[in-house]
Amino acid sequence: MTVTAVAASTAASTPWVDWSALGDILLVGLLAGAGMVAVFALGIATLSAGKRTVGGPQDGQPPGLPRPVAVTVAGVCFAAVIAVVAVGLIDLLRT
Amino acid sequence: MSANTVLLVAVVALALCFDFTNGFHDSANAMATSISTGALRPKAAVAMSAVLNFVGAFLSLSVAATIATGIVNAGAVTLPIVFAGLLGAIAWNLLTWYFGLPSSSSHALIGGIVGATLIAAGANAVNFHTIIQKVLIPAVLAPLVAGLIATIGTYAAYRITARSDEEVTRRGFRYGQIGTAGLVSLAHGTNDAQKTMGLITLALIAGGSISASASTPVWVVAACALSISAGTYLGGWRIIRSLGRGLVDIHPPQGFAAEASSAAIILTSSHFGYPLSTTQVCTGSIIGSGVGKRLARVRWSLAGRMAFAWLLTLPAAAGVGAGMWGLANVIGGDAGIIITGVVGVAFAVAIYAAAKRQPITADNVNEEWTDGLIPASDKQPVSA
Repeated sequence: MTVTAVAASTAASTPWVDWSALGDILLVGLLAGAGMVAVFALGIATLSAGKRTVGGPQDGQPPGLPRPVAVTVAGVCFAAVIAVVAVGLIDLLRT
Repeated sequence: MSANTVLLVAVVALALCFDFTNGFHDSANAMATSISTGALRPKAAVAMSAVLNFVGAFLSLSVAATIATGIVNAGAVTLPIVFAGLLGAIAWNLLTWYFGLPSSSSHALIGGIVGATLIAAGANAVNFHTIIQKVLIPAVLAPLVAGLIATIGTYAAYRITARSDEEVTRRGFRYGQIGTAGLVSLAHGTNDAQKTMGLITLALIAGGSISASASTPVWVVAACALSISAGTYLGGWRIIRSLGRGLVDIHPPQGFAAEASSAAIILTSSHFGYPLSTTQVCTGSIIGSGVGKRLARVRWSLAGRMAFAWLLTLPAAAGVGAGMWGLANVIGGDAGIIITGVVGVAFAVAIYAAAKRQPITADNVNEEWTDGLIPASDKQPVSA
């Protein structure tokens, strides 16, 4: 009894490492993996700045932001992250 | 070709068991960081992961290529080889679970099948070049790439929120963790359940139960989805503990960066057709999140043990696979399959019993890591 399988590629002619794919993975991984983390962190930092009492810098802290500005900017950051995730999910579902 | 019912049933049953062990192995990858930081309570985490794995399994509609494509000569693979290979993979998954070590289920399955093929059909049926190219080299690359991206992400997260309110930071990243951990679970469900579905479908075709042009039957999809999510829910607490507590003392920004890195790499690597093992990516990301935070420390001795276990995966699973094929072959016929299967069950029961003596559960999974997997509070006092 044999189990059929997808045809094997001639491995002997292909290089040890798929450098092209690796480069793509690194690039997209950096943007989506680390880049999105940075954007999310920016959103959090903005929210935090929005919580600082408006009244100028205290204790050497950076100045706060007016609440509405902070919430808007943070919202943009989080929306960007969600958008990237959505793109990733759609791509996942298509394949 | 006559349909050998015993063999076919055995292969399908074993494939589902393999999916089960795959589930509890990989629930750790997605959820360990969230459980460790308290972003999710243990039971809630594995429940969410189980649901997402289940959904993910149903979402993957494309027929999976046989897991050992290009590695073993397609014509040499028989149902007894698949049977023995699955036993090898399950055995390795159970053993590494006992020691709380994450391990690539895919590599274990490849190893098992390679081992059984080697003894059944000889070295000519195995393409070692492809093993190096498609399994071993990616195995080295995966944690390196993951570590790099997670290190950068963690560093960025801490720099950017350096002067932010602590409470806002902690809660914000915890929420983020739920999202990224969910992503990893979903990605795992779509990737991994597929492999077993493909295996079972091909076994059914070979056994004559369905026609060669048939697509995966719905019951196969459902059974695989159920197995993987059941395993996920029961939770590989031992592995969750190692990844969440043993390697790095994880805080929310680190957990978030680690899972984001893992999710990104898993999704892009399968998109670009260069699949990297989920387990090795996730472990590498966690280590990277420890490197990326100043003053954080990584328990490198544990990392070394994990790496060693990864090196052993292929040969160990191959050894068991070969042994199981040999046993079934020597006894011969249906009796061989049944007896070999019983040996496998006995091993599984033994491992389970051994683990039960000092269990890791949802309740003690988050205990502080002092000198090993078993928390200090659980250790039996040594009688003088």
